[in-house]
Amino acid sequence: MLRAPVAGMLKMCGEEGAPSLRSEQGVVFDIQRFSIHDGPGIRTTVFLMGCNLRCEWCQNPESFLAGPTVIFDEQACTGCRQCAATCEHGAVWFNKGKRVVAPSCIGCGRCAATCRSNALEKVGDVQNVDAIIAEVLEDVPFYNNSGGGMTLSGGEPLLRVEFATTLLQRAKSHGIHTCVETAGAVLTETFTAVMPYVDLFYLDLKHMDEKVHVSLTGKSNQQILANADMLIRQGAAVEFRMPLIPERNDHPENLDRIAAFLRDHGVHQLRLLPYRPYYLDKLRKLGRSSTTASSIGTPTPADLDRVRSHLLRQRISTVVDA
Amino acid sequence: MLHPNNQVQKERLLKAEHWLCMERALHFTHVYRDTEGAHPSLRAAMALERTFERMTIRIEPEELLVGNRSSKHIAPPIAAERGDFTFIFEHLFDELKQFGYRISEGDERLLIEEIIPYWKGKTVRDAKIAKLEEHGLSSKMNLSPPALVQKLRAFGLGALTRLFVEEDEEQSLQQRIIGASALVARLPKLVGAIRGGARDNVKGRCRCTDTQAHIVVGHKNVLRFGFAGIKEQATKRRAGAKNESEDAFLHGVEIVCDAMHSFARRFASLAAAEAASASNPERQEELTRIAAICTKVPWNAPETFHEALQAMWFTQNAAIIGYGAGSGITPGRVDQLLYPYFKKDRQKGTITTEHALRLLEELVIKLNNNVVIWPNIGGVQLNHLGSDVENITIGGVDEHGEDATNDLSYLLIDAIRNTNLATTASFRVSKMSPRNFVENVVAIHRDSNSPAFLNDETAIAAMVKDGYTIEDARQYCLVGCVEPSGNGDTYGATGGSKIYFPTALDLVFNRGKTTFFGNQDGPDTGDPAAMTSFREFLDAFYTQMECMVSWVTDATNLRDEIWATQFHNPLISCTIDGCIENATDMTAGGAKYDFGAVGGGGLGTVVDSLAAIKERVFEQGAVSMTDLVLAVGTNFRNHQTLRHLLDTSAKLGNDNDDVDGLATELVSRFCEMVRRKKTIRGGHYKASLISYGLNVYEGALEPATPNGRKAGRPLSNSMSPSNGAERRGPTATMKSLAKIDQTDIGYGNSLNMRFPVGILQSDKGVKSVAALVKTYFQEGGFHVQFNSVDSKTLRKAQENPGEYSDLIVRVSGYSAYFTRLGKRIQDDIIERTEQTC
Repeated sequence: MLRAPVAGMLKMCGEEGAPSLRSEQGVVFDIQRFSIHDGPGIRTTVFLMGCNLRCEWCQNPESFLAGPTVIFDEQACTGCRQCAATCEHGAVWFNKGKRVVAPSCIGCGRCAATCRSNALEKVGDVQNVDAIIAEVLEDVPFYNNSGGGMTLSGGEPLLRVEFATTLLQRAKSHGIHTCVETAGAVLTETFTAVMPYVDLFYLDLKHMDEKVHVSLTGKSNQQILANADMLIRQGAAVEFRMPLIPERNDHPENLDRIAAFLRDHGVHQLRLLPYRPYYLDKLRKLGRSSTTASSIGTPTPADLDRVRSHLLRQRISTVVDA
Repeated sequence: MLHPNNQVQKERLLKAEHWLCMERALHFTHVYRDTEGAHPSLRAAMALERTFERMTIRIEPEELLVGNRSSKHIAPPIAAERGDFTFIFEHLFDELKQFGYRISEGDERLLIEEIIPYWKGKTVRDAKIAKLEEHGLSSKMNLSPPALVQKLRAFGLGALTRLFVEEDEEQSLQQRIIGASALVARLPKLVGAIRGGARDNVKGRCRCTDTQAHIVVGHKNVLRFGFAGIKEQATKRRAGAKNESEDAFLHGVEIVCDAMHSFARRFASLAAAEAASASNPERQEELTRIAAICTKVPWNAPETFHEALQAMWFTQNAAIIGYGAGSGITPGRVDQLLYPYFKKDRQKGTITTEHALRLLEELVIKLNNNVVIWPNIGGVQLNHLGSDVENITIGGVDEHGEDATNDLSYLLIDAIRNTNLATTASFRVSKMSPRNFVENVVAIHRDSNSPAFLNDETAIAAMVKDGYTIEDARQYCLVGCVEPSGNGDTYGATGGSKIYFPTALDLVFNRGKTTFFGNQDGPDTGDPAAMTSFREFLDAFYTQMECMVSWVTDATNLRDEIWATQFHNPLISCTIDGCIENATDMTAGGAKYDFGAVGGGGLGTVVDSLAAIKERVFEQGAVSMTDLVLAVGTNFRNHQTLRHLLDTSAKLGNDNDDVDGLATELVSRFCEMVRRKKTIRGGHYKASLISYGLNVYEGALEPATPNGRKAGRPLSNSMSPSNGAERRGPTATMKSLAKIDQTDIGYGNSLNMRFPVGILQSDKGVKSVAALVKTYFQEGGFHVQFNSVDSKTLRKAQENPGEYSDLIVRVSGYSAYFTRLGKRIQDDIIERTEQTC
């Protein structure tokens, strides 16, 4: 049995439920340097924890959680019990050879640091803006030579608007190009607040039918579309993306509606992100192996061609992200 | 697209059997036997003359450039007088045959009955070992019971047997038993090899090979003057010879110039004869042209592109025959040397780009006919079919500091891509290099794995620090793997002598003894457990390191005396600036610039070890020095938790100022220690941080290290971080290493990085990697190269070598066919950190 998320310690994050943080603090689950698929040039991508959508195909399912946690790979565990011996909170013990975690676990990660078989991994780290910006600044010469910069991703990086705004503002004050990868399901005021400090938005369009959108992601698409509309009207630089999930959103009717929405806004380009099953391993370690997720197929080159030529007939040219 | 005739030549190269040819060895043996007591320059000249007169020559039906190396298509010319290869023949002949080398019955008889017996006690190797023993610099194996127990505890039986058998850790018990019994059967021979191999070590586990060389041939002088012109200079200078030795050297030069003339004429006659009997008129015309060109060059100075290329190839080939395989004889700046001829032909309209490309492709194929057998002890620790790098340098600035990238630079990129062989090519990049030049070089990785990037600003600054004029420095070429050396004006000797940084730690822990050899080599720097500060520990470490630098340079100087007094090379010498003027062979100090080299191995391993000691022992007190010494001395048996603590401490390559500071200090101290040492020829020693792909072998004799590395495992390669230590991606790694003042490292360093194969498929990927290179160089980096295959592909290649025979990987400074490498080197390449992207 994998450890189940424990109420109180691991709040599943929505607009509410994040751990109590000061405004200059955020929960980062990765800072990836030499990131070349998240905007122009060589970038440093800051992945923030917490999301208000629950897409079953999410590549970063660990970001559904709001705070730091320790994930466990039972297959790698050798049962050495070092983690139980290390825990200062008495939150870990072994019962008939199985590792058990108590609600008193605060996700400090001390056990993960001593795990010799790499079965434990700490996910998420409370960091303040200064520390994040310091790391982003490390690669300025690489940004300068490639036209790169900083990208905020997640999770939903705009969930905590104050924190995101401060990060972006600070990056801009150092002359760094900024991108935000967002699902867009946040208040319009949030976009208005960050807009002055964002050079490029990546905004996902997942499904145009509100009901289907709710069933796929747990949330309505109305706010997302309204925000997209606002951004375009305000003249922000936006690149629209679409995660291409076979049998979920790749049917002609949805493609037609996406194409129409884009055309209505004077946009003729769409980035396709073909579904990849790489995250299934992460799901397993999170103790949330999902049967629906593992039933999704990977788009074949023929699928991609079909989608791309369908969109092209609708005057939308596509770029496929690897 | 490769020219169809070149396609045939490429396939011939890939399919050819590997032979051992004794022609060169035999002619040299006869001449040296008959000239005992004569001046070394004359003996060498006459031996070359005899070889060029009598060796088998041939012209392949598709060739436009001619000049073969031995009696078989692939057969390295053997320098018996050096003793390194004959040592292998004596002890590991069966293994060599097992790896696919063939030898004719007649050659085998000559080798066993005539060649090896004549050279017994006379080779560079034998003389070197005697001198090392005489001066107390040799390393003997301490086989006393306590020393044996210590070795066994430190290495374990597994690591010790892995020295000799290709053992896979996932092997079944049955396979292990078969392996072990095969080992027992080979034991008597292996003991001889081990004894002989051990005698080759300098104390403190330092290394000093038998060969020197690693030199850029003075092709510029051959192209400018022809051997006729060079001979004329020698004759003129001979009139003013001050003594017998000067006279003998210059006489030797005259002999080799004439010998080159006759050697080329043999090819001219052969081409003319083949033309007469050719049925295909097109081939007839080609052969007639070859005959005319070989009549003219390299005796006279070339005038056309084809003539210049033929003169260069012929000289390059002859230099390798003369020196023998395995010595890094380097052509240099091919695009710069040949461009004036290409430009003239283009202006006259006598050459097309297609034809020039065809000729360059053929040159690249010929440069890849360089398989060599490496001297080794067990046969599995080294790549048995390594390549004798003939590194070509492309791009960079000219002597005035202006960008000199030209049409041939781009054509050579095409030639390297089209041939898709394991070409070792070095691309010089300056601030002025065109962006598309760098991107084109990056894109070579889509098809192949060859290119290395070199930073002009850093290399030139390093050369000037070492005494080159700025104009000469700007003409630098890469020798061997990545060693910057002068363009035909330097006796480089850039390879061969080496210390391993982790051994200095071993010496501190064991108070002056190495675990593997077990003798009191170094001073007793005190009980490490009694040291109260990290600085005190570091001082002891540097004390041992300084001793190692002294031993290895003393040993190298003893070896160099043998070359200087017994084994000259008037052929290469006469092409090098200074030798004729000084009437002195390059081995005796004739060249305009003279240096020696000391390599440092295992930087990542030792820096991570020092960082772990600093953090865990002295700062946190989480580990006691007593426990640490015990743990590394017993290969971490019963010390798993301690090992984990060491393994998880901060490591080089993550842009961590504390750790990087240790590397910066270590490299600067090492370079300074080396620079203070003088060669016997008047120059000084320069440091390098390269591993020639030998880091696997180097680790085999090293006990466990405080970075958590187990005994016998590979050391970190070149200047790269340890495998698996890079946790924050390539930009962090580059920033870490750029903190080191790389202009101190006169003979270069190498940073090897690997990318998953997909990254370069997009233009974005190519541009991003080009930006990485540019930024690393802007920050002061000297060299970087990339492997772009993914580990999955490499594992598949291990399982089905037949399907992946063309898979090329960068080993270290040179490229090799992955499936021909030893299993453990393959494993090491797979392990090299996969960069995130």
